[in-house]
Amino acid sequence: MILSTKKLIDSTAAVAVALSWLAGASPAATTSHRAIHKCQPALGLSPDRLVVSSNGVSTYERIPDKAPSQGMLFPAAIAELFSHLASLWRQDTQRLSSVTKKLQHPAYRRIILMGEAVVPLILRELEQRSGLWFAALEEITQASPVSHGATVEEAAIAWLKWGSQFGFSKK
Amino acid sequence: MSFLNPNKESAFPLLRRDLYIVTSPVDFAYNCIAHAAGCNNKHWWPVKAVGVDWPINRFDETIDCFIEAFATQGYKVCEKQDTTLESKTEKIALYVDMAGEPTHAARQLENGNWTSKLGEWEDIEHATLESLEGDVVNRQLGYGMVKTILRRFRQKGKDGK
Repeated sequence: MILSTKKLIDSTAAVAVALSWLAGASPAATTSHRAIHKCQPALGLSPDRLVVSSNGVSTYERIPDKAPSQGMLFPAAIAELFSHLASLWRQDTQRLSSVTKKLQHPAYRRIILMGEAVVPLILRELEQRSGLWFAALEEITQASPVSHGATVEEAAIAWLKWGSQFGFSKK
Repeated sequence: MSFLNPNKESAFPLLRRDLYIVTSPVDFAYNCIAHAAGCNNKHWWPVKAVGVDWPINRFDETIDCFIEAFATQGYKVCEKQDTTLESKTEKIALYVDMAGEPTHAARQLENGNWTSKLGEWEDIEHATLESLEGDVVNRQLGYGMVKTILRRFRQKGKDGK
């Protein structure tokens, strides 16, 4: 049930760094020159300033007024990370009946941390596979387009309609 | 007649040595608790969330809370924990994990078998309640153990979906 650390480590470096950004971590100060250099193009981050300290160890420091936002991530990295987390979530929780365990699963919470960038991906998932994505959509968007007492199908239709109205999905 | 794929079957170690058949395809619209209560378009769980129903104003994940919820459907605790088929009686079995938290519900059919929705997976008809319990070695698998049997007078048209 617990999100496996190994599974996350198995992800690509770009995805792992993206995750740390999305989780609010600040990798620039501690990540090596090489790792940052490798990940920057994939993440679409603005150029950082190279700082060389007195002991010769190079680190990058983000330029404060150009701090990368989630929206600057390449869509492919976001989609890959979302797909990875959604797959883990399904794998760990589909056999369970507990809605609480589904909504509190670490992968589900990580997806919520990714913010508005994943709303189109969640809506696509909802359309293609269904699933209890409503809580994540509510938490990310602060919207509640579903009427009280709606069935799962009615809720999915309401969210897809909402997504279309606000430009998050085609329908 | 169909069966679960081996990956899903492996989540229920005792199911493979028991008799069961798949009775409906994967459906995300409801869970086992709802299915046991005869609802196939929402989940039932003591939590306030879209697409989830709970018939009482009590939201703790305890066996007492689930018993109270099924009482709204006319079920009462079967004191003798009797799982045998009785005419004109409908029974529900509540499973709990090692911490005593409810994990699953199965409903007895008129033929004496049990119907279960496996999370968001398929519905199955199984011959015994033990087949969905965890085994001694892999206690985290299956749905733990049967804790409580509920019963009511059988309602017409409630078998299956």
